[in-house]
Amino acid sequence: MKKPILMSLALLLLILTACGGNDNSSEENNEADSGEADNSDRTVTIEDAMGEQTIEGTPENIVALEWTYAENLLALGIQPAGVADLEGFDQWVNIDKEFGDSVQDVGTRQEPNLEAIRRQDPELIIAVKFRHEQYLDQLKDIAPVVTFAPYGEEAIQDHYQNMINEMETLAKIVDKQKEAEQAVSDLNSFIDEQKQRIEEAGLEGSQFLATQAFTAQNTPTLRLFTANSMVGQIMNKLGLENVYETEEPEVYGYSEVTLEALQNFQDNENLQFLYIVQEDDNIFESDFKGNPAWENLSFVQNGNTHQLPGDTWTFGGVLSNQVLTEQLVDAMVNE
Amino acid sequence: MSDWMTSSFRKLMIAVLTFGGGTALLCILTYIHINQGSVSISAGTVIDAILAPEDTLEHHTVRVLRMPRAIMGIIAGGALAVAGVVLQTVTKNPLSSASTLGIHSGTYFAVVFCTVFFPAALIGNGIIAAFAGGIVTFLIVFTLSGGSNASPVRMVLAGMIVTFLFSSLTSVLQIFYENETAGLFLWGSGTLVQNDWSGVHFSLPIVAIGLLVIVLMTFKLDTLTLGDDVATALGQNVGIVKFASITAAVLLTSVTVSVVGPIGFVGLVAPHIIKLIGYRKHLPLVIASFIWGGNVLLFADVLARIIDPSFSELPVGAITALIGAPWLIYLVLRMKRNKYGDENTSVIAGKASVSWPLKRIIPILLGIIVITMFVSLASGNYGFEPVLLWNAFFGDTDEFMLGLVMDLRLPRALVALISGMVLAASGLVFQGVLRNPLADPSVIGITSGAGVGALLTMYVFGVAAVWIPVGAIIGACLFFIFVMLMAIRAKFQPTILALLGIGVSAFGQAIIQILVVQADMNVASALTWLSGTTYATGWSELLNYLIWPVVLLLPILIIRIRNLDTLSLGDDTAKGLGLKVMSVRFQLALIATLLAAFSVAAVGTIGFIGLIAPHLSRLLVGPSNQRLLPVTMLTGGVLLVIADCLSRTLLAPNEIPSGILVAIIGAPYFLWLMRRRA
Repeated sequence: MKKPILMSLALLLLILTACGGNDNSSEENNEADSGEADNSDRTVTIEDAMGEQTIEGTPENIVALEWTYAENLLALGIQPAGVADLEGFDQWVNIDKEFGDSVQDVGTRQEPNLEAIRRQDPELIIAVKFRHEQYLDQLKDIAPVVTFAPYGEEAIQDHYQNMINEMETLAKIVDKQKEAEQAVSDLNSFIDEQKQRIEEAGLEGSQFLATQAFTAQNTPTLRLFTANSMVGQIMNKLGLENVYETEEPEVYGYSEVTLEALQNFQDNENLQFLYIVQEDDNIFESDFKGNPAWENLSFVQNGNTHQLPGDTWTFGGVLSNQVLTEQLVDAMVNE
Repeated sequence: MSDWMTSSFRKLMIAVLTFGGGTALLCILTYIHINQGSVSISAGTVIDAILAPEDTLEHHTVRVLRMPRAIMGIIAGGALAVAGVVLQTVTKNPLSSASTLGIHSGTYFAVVFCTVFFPAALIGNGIIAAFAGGIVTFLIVFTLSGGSNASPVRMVLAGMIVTFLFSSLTSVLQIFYENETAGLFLWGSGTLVQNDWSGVHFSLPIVAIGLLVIVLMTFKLDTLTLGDDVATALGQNVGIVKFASITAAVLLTSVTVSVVGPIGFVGLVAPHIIKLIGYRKHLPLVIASFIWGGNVLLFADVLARIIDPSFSELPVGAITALIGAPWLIYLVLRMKRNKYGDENTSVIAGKASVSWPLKRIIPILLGIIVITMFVSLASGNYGFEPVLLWNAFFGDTDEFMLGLVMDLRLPRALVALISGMVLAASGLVFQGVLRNPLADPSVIGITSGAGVGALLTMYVFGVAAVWIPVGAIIGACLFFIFVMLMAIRAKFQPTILALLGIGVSAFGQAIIQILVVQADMNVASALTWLSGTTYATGWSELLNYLIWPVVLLLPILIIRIRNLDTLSLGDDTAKGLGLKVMSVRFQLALIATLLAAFSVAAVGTIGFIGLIAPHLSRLLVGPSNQRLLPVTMLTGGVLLVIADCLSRTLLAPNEIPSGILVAIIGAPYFLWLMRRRA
């Protein structure tokens, strides 16, 4: 399905550019110039994954190569100029705020398209170390680059806190600290509100196990969320306790396990089991239902399993985490 | 009399050990296997669960999760081993197996293809698709490498090319249809994980039918080993025998692929163990192979979980390759020269269809390069804009376009051009040194060495991504030294070298797979690099990696290329002409390795250029290496510039790794070439 659309888009663009290809870029230049004129005396120094960075002026025309930062820009009231894999963003990230029509797709997150980025004439590019480390020089040739390391040594100790920290760094660069504080405090008060619902349902202090499940290699696979993940952190803030512990923090905040591993969590009668599945790949219906190794698990027998919708996004920014909090609580309470 | 007694007693003992011992080992391994898992269950409980099942969770775990996995391992391992026996007999090739002949990749591609386009065809785990894919792949490899008269090496090489082709096609499907194929893994390495008995229930009857057919054919297969003519003279319909047994073998393979994914090398290792013991008749051979195939696969699975006892497992297919690849190398070194046809021929790619003088052909090629470079520089995310390009350089000042071309498009196109040249030259030298028309850096295992080096730098030493290329060069050189040490033992026989390369390559691939599974996110960027891409290359790659081969290595090569012509006359003649055959081989191969390593450092592992460019050039100017070198380099350059241009523009703003494009264009052409030679 994608191909004809892409081809027709390409054709359309071809015609447009043939008619007046170089006009749009110069217009953008003018806009950018007028923006810079107001705040050319401002410089910000921040610490990113590559060391100290000094950014001059207040960047407004920004390209984000990873979804979390694109989303956090929206939370700060900024429409990014370009986002990597826009289609994927719309499919996975489930937030109220939307990108305007002006936002351009700049290729995949792993191999963002340098030409497309350049056409945006950005004042700032937001990259991540684990994907773009090799390409930083090429990106820096286009515009100043801020590199975050969401899966770096420090960041993985607590994904949630790291996301907040990165949000604050980003806000400092674009001069939107107030908006960032507002967004974070909104999230905190929202979590507190939701905590009330947990208490009303009499679930506070319960132990839980949270997983995202899918079929890989013909085999039902479960991602068990660890304490350092966003899910784990939010559940903690809601007053719940994760029973799955690892000695070392998992890089992504989960371990991939098979059905058998769930038997290690049989001691607690009130263990709440939360799972995220895609509707067209619901392994609990298609594979586990009627399987004695699943049906005999204590939380299944006690009816403590809670399904979350397939569009639950567990690797997002401030806005995604608000949605995630609500989805987690809804799953546990509305049953 | 007593001699006869002792020898028959020995035979009896061997039989008891092979069949009885094998079965006993199977029981022991199964028991060890079902004691392993993510949750600890005491050995006593495991035995209770088997003998006196109760309705407890632990017992269900043993009976519903672990026993099916062990049984599936035995079925899959046995089926693959028996398929290996049949393939080895029918193709008269001791190195045949589902993985070496590319059948695995064909079945797997068919399953992915149907997942995307005909989900309806996926009844029964996609067995029908897998079976069709397997049969077609076998026919392609078998006929292209010359049918019954093909030498084992050619057949295995054809299998390897087909594997390249199907893996590339599979990755393309996954790039285009990411969502539909999300549940499938890139080039899968297989897993035995079972959650109930459904996999066993599904595969057991089909495997039983396949086995029955093959057991009924064993006597006829014995006759077949005497040669087709003898078998025909004895009144056997050779065609039907071959067809039926191959069909059964592919059926066995496709069942295992559809349930547990492609698991390599079991079909190669198990039959050879039995043959080494001394069984030649097919009935005992098939039965013993089944038992030992199960043993090999169970052992690999037990080992995989001992190595990585965490909840997430190592892919068992990588472990079988890790065990199997050294085994293949050992087999190759043991082989007697006459056993697999000494392909001591010079490289011929058919006659030159047009034998133009260099004076004419080089300007033409240069012209083509200029045109493709121009098209490439004028193409981007917005299609083909020659007028804009022209204006940028010679007309109105269009700063934006000029910058775009000078900073992004021009260096990238130049990197493609020079990498293509370097890779092509490397391939030409390897083909000449090994006197094997199908050699290239990736076939010899050097590219996978570079991949291992690159990943190790990232994952084990954890240094910055900047060092990846250095790791790649070191890895390539280490693998090269290893292959060369082996080659010295094998007296530089071209065929042996090629086979060693395949073994080394598989070993490298297995290490890569294990590293990728074990590694964290950092490897994502290494992986894109491994598929071979000109993405985001620029002036720095040109200055850091590509300048050296051009300045240092190519001149040496141009001076030394005459030796390659002398070598192609055959070793004896070359020695008679006063050439130090061994040392010249070594020197030339070292140059070719360094060339390959530098290009890998710049653009990752792009295969096929080194295979195709020399062949295309032979069609143009004939077999003389002195004439071939310049033409080959130019051809290789053109090929990669075109691939690079397509990879940027076809799906803009998304990129397709150029290595994959080269494989998709190159593999069919190459198979066609093989067909012509056969």
